[in-house]
Order: sequence, then C-alpha cells, then structure tokens
Amino acid sequence: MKVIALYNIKGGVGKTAAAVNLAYLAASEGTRTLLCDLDPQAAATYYLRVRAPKRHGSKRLIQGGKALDRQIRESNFPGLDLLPAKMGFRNLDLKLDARKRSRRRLAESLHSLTGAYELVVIDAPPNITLLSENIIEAADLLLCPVIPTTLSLRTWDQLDRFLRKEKLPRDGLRAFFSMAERRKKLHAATIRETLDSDPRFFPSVIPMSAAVERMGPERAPLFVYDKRSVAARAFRGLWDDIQCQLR
Amino acid sequence: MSPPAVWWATDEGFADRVLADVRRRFKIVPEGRQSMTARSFETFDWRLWEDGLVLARSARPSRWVLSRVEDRAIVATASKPGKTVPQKWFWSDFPVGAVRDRLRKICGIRALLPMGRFRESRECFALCDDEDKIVCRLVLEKSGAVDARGGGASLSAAGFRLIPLKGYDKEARAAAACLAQMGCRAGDGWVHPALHAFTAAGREPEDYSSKARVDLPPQITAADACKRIHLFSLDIAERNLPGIFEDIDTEFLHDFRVALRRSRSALSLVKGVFPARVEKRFGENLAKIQRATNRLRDLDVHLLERGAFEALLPPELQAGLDGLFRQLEGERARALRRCLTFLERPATAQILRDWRAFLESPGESSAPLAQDPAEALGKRLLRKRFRRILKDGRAIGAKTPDTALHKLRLQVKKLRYLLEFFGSLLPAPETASFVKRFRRLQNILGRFNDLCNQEAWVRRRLEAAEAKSGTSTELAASLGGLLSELGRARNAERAKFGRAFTRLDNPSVRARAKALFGGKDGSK
Ligand SMILES: Nc1ncnc2c1ncn2[C@@H]1O[C@H](COP(=O)(O)OP(=O)(O)OP(=O)(O)O)[C@@H](O)[C@H]1O
Ligand SMILES: [Mg+2]
Repeated sequence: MKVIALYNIKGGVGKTAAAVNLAYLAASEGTRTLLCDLDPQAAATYYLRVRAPKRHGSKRLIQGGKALDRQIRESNFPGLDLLPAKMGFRNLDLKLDARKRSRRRLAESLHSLTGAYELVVIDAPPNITLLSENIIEAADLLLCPVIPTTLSLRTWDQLDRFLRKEKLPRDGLRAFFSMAERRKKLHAATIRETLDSDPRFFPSVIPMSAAVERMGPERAPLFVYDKRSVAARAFRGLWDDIQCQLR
Repeated sequence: MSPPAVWWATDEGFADRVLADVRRRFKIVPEGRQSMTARSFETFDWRLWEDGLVLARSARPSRWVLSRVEDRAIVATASKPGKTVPQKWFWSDFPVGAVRDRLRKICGIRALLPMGRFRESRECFALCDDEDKIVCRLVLEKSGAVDARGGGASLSAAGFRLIPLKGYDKEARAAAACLAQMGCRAGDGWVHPALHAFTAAGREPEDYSSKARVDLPPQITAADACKRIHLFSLDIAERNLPGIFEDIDTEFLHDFRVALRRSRSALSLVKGVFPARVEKRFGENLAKIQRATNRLRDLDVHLLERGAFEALLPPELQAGLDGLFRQLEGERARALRRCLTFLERPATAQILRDWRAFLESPGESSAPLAQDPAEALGKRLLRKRFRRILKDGRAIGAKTPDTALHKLRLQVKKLRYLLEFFGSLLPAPETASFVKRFRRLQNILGRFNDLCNQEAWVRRRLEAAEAKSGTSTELAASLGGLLSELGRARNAERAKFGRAFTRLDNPSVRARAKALFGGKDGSK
C-alpha cells in the first residue's frame, strides 16, 4: 500500500482538486484506492457527495482497524472509497498530543488498511500542525502543488526547510505546478527555470482551467463531466509521472 | 449483517412492482443494460459444478467468465484467444491468468466440452439519496436457453442482485426490505443461467460420476446385489464409449477400463452368486474388451508422464525426450485406430448387450450363494481379504522381492473394491474411517508400482534405442538419466512401506475391522 499526501502550507493551491482527480484516475485503472479527507473544510467529501457519518471524529481516525474502517464510504465510482472529513478533526491535534509517539499515530492507523487498499490519497489541510506532521510521516509521496509565482515558490522552500529542521522525512517530497497560466510571461518563465533547476518537480503542469473549477457545481471528479479537457489530460500526465516515481 | 445478495421471483410483473416500491425511498438512476449470449463449458464429469463453479464463453464482450453456482457472482474472467475455436478446451488452451489457474487445479487432464447456450440480460439501477450519492445498486438479471439454431430465448428466470456499497448498510437493508415485501425470495432456488443451457443440451448437473456409489437396501440377496453392482459399472462403461470414439480426453478410456475392471473383480471375488457358466463367459468377454484397450491406455499413461519425466531431468537432458514423445504420439494414433476398430465390432456391442440382458433379467438364480443375504456374504469376503492383507504384509521385509509388494497392492485393491460393492450395507462413518486407514498404504503401493512400470518401460525403450543403429546419443542420455532418477524414487517409496503398514497392522484397526466385518479379528 502506497500513501500519497497532497500538502502545502499555503491554502487554495489546488490540493483538493488534485487529490480527488488523482484518486479517481488510480481507481479507474483498477487500483483499490482510499481518498482520506483530513481537511475539516471537507471539500473532497463534498465533491464526492458523501455525508459524513454522525459518530465520526478524530478518535476513530487514530484508532485504526475496525473503528476506522467503519467510517469509510464507497464512492459512486468503482474502486474508489472515501474517508469523509468532519469538523471533529479540529480536535485531532489535542488528541494526538496526549499520546506517545504522537507523530507516527496516523501512519500506524493507516497501516491497518493494508490489504484493503493499494493506494491511499490524503487531502491535507493547509497549515503546520501536529496532524500535518503525522501526514508527512505517513506519506510515501508528499506531493506539493505550487502556483508558478515567486511567493508560492517561497512557501515551497519554507516547507523544505521546515522538514529539515524538524527532522521529518524528505525523501518523498515532490512538487508540481498547479493553476499555471501559460500566457503570463512570468508564469512561463518561473516554470521553465524551476523545472530546469529542481528535479523534485514533476514535468506535468496543471493549467488554470474553467473545467477544474466546475468540480464545485458538478460535484464530481473532472473526468466524469469533461474527460477531454486540457486539464484532464494534464492530470493524466501527472498521474503517469507519479506512477513512475512510486515504482 | 449484510442482506442476501440474490433475490428472485417467478411471476411476471415483479420487477416493476419492486422498482415502484424502491422509488418511494430512493431516487433510481438507470445505469444501463447489457445482454449477452454465452456458451457454457463443463467437463464430462461435472468437475466445475462440483466445485461450485460455471464456465461460460460470451460472444460480446468476447471473454471467458467463471462464476459461482450459488449466487452467480463472477469469480474470474479471461479474454478469448482470437484465432481458432476448438470444440474442446483444456486448461492449457486458456490465456495466462486466474481462469486458467483455477481450471488447471479443478479440471486437470479433463477436457472442457460445450454444453449448450444461454442468453442473459442485466439491467443496473443505482439507488441514490437526495444528494445523488449512490447508496446501493440493484441489478435485474434475466436468463433463458438458446436453442441449437440460435433463436428462441425467452428470458424467463429473473431476479434482482443487490449490490451494497461499503458504509451504506442501512440503505442496503432498506432495499432488501422492499424486495422481501414485494414477494421476492432470497438466496437458493434462483437457477444459474447455465442450467438452461445444460437442459437444452440434454444434460443435468452431476448426472455422471465415475465414483462407485451403489446403494443397496439392507435385506438384499447376494444375486440381486451383484446385479446392481454390475449394472452400475456397465452404465459407466457405456456412457464413456462416445467420448472414447471422439477421443476427447484420456479419462473416458480410463473410466471405461476402471468400470470393466471393477466388474471383472466382482466376478472373480464374489463366486457362486451367478451360475458358473455366466461367471466364466462374461469374465472372459469383459477381459477380452479390456485387453483390446491395454495398448492405448499404456501410451496415454506414458504421454501423460511427459511433464513428470521432464521434471526429473536437468534441462540439458530434456531435449532428448522430444523425439521419443513425438514417436509415442504416432504410436498412439495407430493404437487408437486399432482399439476403436475393436470396439466398433458388432461382436463387442453384442457382449455388452448380452451382459445387460442378463443383469436386467428378473429370473431367480440357482447358483449356490444366490439367495444368501448380501450383507453376510460381503462381510465374509471382506474379513477374508483383510486377514490376507495382514498376513502378506507382515511377511514383507527389507529383502523381500518387489513382486511381493505388487501382490499386496492387488490385495488391497480387491479390499477396496469389496468395500465399494458392499460398503452401503455397513455403517457409514466407521467404514469411512477404516478406508482412511488404508489410504496412505494404497498411495505408497500405487506410486511404487507406477515407478516400477515406468522404469521397466524406460529400460525397454533404452534397449530398443541401443539396438537400433543411428539412434541419437541425446535420447540415450535422457533415458539413462531417467532410469537412475526413477530407481532413486522407487527406493524412496519402498522405504516408506514399513511405517505405512503399521498404521493398518495394529490392535485398534484390527478391532475396527472386527466390529465392521464380524468374526475373528485376524490377530493370530
Ligand atoms: N487548475 C485549476 N484551474 C482553475 N481553478 C482551480 C484549479 N485548481 C483548483 N481550482 C479552484 O481553486 C479553488 C481552490 O482549489 P482547491 O480547493 O483544489 O485548493 P486547496 O489547495 O485544496 O485549497 P484549501 O487550501 O482551501 O484546501 C477551488 O475553487 C478550485 O475549484
Ligand atoms: Mg482543500
């Protein structure tokens, strides 16, 4: 079982869009996939039209095993299941803090799903908390969407420094450009320069696209309503890049 | 607890009724409908069905589907190799994958034969909540037979398959409640679509089995019992004849011969039940038929041994065998022709007809033991045979010649035959556990005998090869290598004999034999 986490300290960079679409692609290829919505905003859960179970919260998430399994919902799409988000996750940091080895709790909990799933995709909340550290520890691939702007690249550097300082694993740290506008000279230049200098960036670039924005009103992965769009093709390319990396 | 997966009903409008009722609780979104025609495949002796499986080849989409009898759930699928479509399939004809693996384990050397066609349609309905999240699926499945001309399939048998979604148990239970309320029945009784095809092809699951299962009523006389036992074997023999003529797989001839041998054993083991001239005449005639099949069977056995032989040899010595087996194929083709010519003769058919006429004639026999109770007779023979096995077995030591083991194997086999004949007159669980005690010894003696035969055969082949000038040294090397490997295996098998025999020759088994067969326990 491989774990991919979509993560960035910065908000609104396309984490959820990528998490949902990549998980959908994996499942459509026959990979048994679990999408974990760990962001209390519950955007991924909303896209998949799932209502979070009533008795659902941080305790079950870190318990793992049956308690966790019971919270999982099968999506409308074959092979794709979802662990819905809940406002209760806000208290997760407190719960984690009260335990020993508090950074490894999520990794251990997810480990109990080996066998049921071949791939776990985590949609992470945009901040640095104990939960984020747990996510970073659990991920085989820590995937960071970066908008091709100077400010965005700065947060990418900050993330790298943070991992180093906190002695968190950095081997799986990768990035891709998200919401790129090729017509903007600055975007194009930033992408070119970064791809040349930083091998941790995947070559596929997700463009700014109205088709992706429509995930909100459609409440579905992009491929369900516009599989031929430029953005859909870009996500397929990104998924290929990721598979090469995981192998 | 999740609700049952399959729900069926027999009346006309149940599907509409169910959907109308479901619609009151859920939004229904049709997800499409597929229909397909498929041909079912089975071995002659229903190996797949006995394992709870059905194999079918559908035309569009073109693929093999292995599904469960119980609930029609698909177990594995395989793509259909495009080019030629043979009349019969062996597991090795299937593309590499799950279907082939299962078939190899279940069917072994048996061919898969086409067994009629059926048509099936599946219509899928997604049940959604008010956010259009799917919470359960219902698949309406209908099926019917297709006649030989490809038409005339009325999709009669129908039912719903309920497919729950993980995390939506409550909704699945609600859908199940609708099904139950609208008069559907859960589980058993919904026929697998392949059954239509079997019926159309004139077959019925498990209508053939080579296993000896004669059920005798308790008070039956020896003559009547023997007639039933022989009729049972004769049925098996005759049912295998068409498969022998079509040369479908080697098991037809094998089962045919086992049936003949069983009858011949019964004739020679149970003397004095039929008139002496009947015993003599049919004993000789059945032996004659069997002899005519010997050569073909020997060649079948050697050809089937190919894999085992190759496994015994290092790769560099395997090449030498290719020519040998090509030659054997040629010999087999000739032996088959000769065997079929014999079986086709009117005289051969006449033997079997006369035999059946005698067995089905109601006349009371004047033979000395004819009116004895079968049970007492059977027990007496079993007792005698068991005692004989103990005596012969005890005489076998490390230096005893191999022939003693072969003789003992035949004694054990006779005991097994007697148990097959009269077993239904004995208490079942005790008989079964007694039989179990013999299994290991029987396996060892069987393998030992096979290895001796193989060795002798390889030696003959080697001598023949050396006598002929211009034989490849490659073949001689392969055969030489085989000889030493087979000899090693034979010795290993023989070394196991002592331990296996003590599993039989001990007070507890002797006491069991005494309880089963009566009389003395043979310990002296
Ligand atoms: N490639 C894109 N083109 C156009 N719009 C996009 C694209 N990717 C995401 N968006 C839109 O941008 C907004 C933020 O995207 P998304 O929710 O995926 O980001 P996020 O990183 O998960 O945000 P948050 O940090 O709030 O969780 C959404 O409205 C989404 O529809
Ligand atoms: Mg998000």
